[in-house]
Amino acid sequence: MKVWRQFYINLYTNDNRSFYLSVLRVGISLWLIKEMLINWPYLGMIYGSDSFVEVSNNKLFSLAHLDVQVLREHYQWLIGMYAILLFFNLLGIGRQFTALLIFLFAEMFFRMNIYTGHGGMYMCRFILLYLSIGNSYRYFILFKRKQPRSPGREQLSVFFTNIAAGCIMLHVCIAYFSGAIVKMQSPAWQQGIAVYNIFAGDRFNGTGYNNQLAHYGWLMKGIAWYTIVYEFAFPLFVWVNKMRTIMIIMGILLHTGIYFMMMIYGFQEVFLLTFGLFFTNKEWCSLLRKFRINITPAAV
Amino acid sequence: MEKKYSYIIKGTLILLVPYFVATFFFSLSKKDIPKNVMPLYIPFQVVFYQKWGFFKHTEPFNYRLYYEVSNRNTGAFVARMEVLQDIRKLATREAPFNQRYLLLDVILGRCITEVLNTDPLLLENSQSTSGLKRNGPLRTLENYAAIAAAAYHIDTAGNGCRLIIMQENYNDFTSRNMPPVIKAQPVFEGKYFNFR
Repeated sequence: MKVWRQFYINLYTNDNRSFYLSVLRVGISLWLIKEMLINWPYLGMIYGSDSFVEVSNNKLFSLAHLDVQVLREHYQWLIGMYAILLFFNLLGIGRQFTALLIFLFAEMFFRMNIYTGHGGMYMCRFILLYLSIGNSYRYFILFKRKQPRSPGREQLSVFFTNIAAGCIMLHVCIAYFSGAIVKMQSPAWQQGIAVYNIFAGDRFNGTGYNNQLAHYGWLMKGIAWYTIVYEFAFPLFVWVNKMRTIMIIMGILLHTGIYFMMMIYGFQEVFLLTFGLFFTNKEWCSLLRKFRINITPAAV
Repeated sequence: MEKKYSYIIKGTLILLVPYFVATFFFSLSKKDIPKNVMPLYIPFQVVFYQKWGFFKHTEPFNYRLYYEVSNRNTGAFVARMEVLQDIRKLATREAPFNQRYLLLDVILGRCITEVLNTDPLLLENSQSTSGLKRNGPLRTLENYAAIAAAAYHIDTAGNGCRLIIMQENYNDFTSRNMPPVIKAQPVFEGKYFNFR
């Protein structure tokens, strides 16, 4: 009971993750800008009303009285507003309100073309939602707060910052764990057949020699089991201090492997970005001090 | 701490518990979700859509998307083009600067999967001349025919087209070290339509 009480008090008194939450805000904004830029020549194909892609209204749009065809007819305006908001979020202008608007825009774009959505975008939407409740504006912002908050409001801000970080970490763990359960139940994954099918096919042939690698049965089985063990272990052991760095290194290996071997880019980038949240402000401070970088909050 | 803030904190924590329990259960496969919470699955996914069981089913085949072009009046065969294999080859060759091909691949690939998972009767209706109940994925594949024809320099004037989805099986895991044997079979053959 005492432990839970202390945990509860820490939630609103100890600002543990605001540094990396600020990094994540900047990182996610840059990632979304990058996604927009690489898709720039094809935005008409993805969202335009005269695209060959036929999209019907989804349930959420119907509930919100939005018409997907009208949105697609005005996609350039929407993209323009979205770009401005991303730039604002990068600099911390408009704070949580901007983050919330970006979440709504990202959600809308995601549903305007259901075919192009990917795991990175799924997770990114949730990160944006959680960023809109937390305070990721203690670092890397253009304008400081003019007046400090009252002690009560400050505690509330710390609480929501810890909650936002906690939600992102928990969501990452759930994503891995549900993936592990699915794979663990599949004999094809246990025998390495699932990985063989991916490597021998032409859809995820990122290197041009994946087909040759598929001949090595031990390699296929090894990759399959590495993935299963990692996805099971990460949600359990990343919270244990001694195991955390190993889990993060395993994650970096898995995601960079998928990035280069399978050409699945966005998903890996977003998940890699979240890993820094598993380290506290203190740990980041001491790590950066080794490189003679001192971090001090820019805003109260 | 002031009472009002304490209530906000406790209220938030109370809200988060069912949210994350739901997130966990609804990100599992449908068969793993407890039956008593199943009615909440669709409303939850409408708002918080997510799917994490990637590569749940992988199969030892590639899909191929063919467009068969023929003269609208005489029915004479004009050309047959396959688009998916070329897109994927280019995606591999141009990686990591291959966004155009990745986008095309993901759009066409998902539409093919959707078409193959749709009730054939609904597809039949979608292809009828009245075509009141349009099937989005099938329409998308049909719409792409004109783009493919332009890329392959095939004249669309006076010609019609139909799409064929082939499943091209390659050696399975147990026969991976045998000489490659590719077996192709059509899994969907559409009706003729005019280029759009």
